[in-house]
Amino acid sequence: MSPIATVLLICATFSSGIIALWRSYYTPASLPSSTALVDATLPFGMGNNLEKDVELERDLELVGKDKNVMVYEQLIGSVVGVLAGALLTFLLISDTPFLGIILAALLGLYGWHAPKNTLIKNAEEQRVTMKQALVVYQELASAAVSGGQSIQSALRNAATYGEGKQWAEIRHAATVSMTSDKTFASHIRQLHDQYQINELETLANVIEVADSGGTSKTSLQDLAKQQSKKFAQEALDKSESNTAQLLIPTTLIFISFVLLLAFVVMDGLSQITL
Amino acid sequence: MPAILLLIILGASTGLTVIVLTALGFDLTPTKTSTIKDLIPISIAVAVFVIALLITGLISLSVAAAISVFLIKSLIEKRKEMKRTESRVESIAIFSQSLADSISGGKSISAAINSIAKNPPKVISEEIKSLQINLSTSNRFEEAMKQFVVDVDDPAADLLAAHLIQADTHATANLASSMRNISESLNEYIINNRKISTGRRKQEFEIKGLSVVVVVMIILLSTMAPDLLDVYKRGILGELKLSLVFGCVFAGWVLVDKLTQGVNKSAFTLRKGAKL
Repeated sequence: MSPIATVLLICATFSSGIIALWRSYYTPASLPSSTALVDATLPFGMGNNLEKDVELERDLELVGKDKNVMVYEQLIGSVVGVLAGALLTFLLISDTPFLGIILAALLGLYGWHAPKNTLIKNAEEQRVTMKQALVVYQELASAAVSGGQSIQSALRNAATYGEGKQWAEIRHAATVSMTSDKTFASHIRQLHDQYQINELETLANVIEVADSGGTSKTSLQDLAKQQSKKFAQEALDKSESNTAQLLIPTTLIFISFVLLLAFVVMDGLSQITL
Repeated sequence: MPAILLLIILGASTGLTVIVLTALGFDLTPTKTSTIKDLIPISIAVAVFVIALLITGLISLSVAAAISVFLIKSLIEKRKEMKRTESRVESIAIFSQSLADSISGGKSISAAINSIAKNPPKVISEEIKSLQINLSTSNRFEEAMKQFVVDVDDPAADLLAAHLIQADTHATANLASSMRNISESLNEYIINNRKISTGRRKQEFEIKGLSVVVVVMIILLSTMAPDLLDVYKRGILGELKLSLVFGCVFAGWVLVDKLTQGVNKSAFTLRKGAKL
């Protein structure tokens, strides 16, 4: 490859790589006016495939990201992947175009899927935080109930303690339900539609039954205990799964060792004249 | 010449990136002000970079050596923080258990805190003593508890404080049992955390061992057979090849840093200024 092409390829990979990295840590708020503009400029109706994916749509809504922003991230990701694949093959490994095309295609595909994986991970984090909030919320409510408060007032008072997005949402549901036509249970059910976690559905049912005078004090305490245990077990499972994933860094460091020697050996072999 | 070319490329790419990011509307102004303490690792990294560059003449190796300073610092700090968190959680569990015992013995919350403050758990002793002082001087129990939460700076303390504030405001009858539950779940958290870290020891040892092998191999090759490392000294291509090697090592360590977090504990934080 000519030096100018090499320099341009390195510049393009480096720059787009940094942009992709930066974008992954920064989720811009969606603006309705800019969304319309972006929608119109997206080629081949690329944003349309996301509409069909209901789960993805939900995740986008949960993390507050516009679908078009994600499509652009995917485009940047695949460009970075293709460029990095081409650069790696032609500069470091070999001049074989076939290998270059395969590597560029593989990394391009990875670049296309990486933003989607990040989105799913971010949405999952939001769900875990909501579960955490619910565990503490029910624990506080059940303590208040055991102190003699009614279930309804205990559930409303307990919402005032925590801070963070999820606590604000529970608090909002508790306060808005006092002035609107919708009940507290239906507000919680709305949160369930948004988060898709069973704990919210269970809570909505408990509130509904309590409103009709059917929930006993012990049932709220039992629910709090069960969900606390369930959440602790989930956290433990996650840690165990992280331990299993430690095989990836081990492999990466082993690859670095192999590469260190492979470059030396390949260089030595290329200098042998038969 | 190749080194200069590489620096030009890096400079041009960084400049281009800054222009593109600014055009996209990103605010590149640093948000955190640096202190002298922050400057120490930066100075060490710069010194390491210069020394490595003078000895080897390889930019990628020098950059990798400088990055290692930050990586090692981050890993040491994380280890220390994990130990600190564990001892803090252990102390909060003891405090919670002591509160449960005192309250079930018939004492009021303030009286229970006063008696614990005479012989408090070691790690949070200062915080408990200042809580006792705040309770005796301030009329508002809630404010004193919130100050305690800020002092201890741990979600476990937030949960404990929320229960105490709730009990003080709404006269909860079962406070001793709540305190005992908190203590039990915190002890369970500590046990699980220890189990997890014991299970990880083998993999961590393997990763450390492999990293040492890579570094030792480079040192051995550069001292005993420097000609073999010529492949890495041939201009940009050589630098890129070495960058790929170090890139894999760093990616591995960044993953280790990410995956070796302790068991997720409740992220509950007491809302500041909440009307209870």
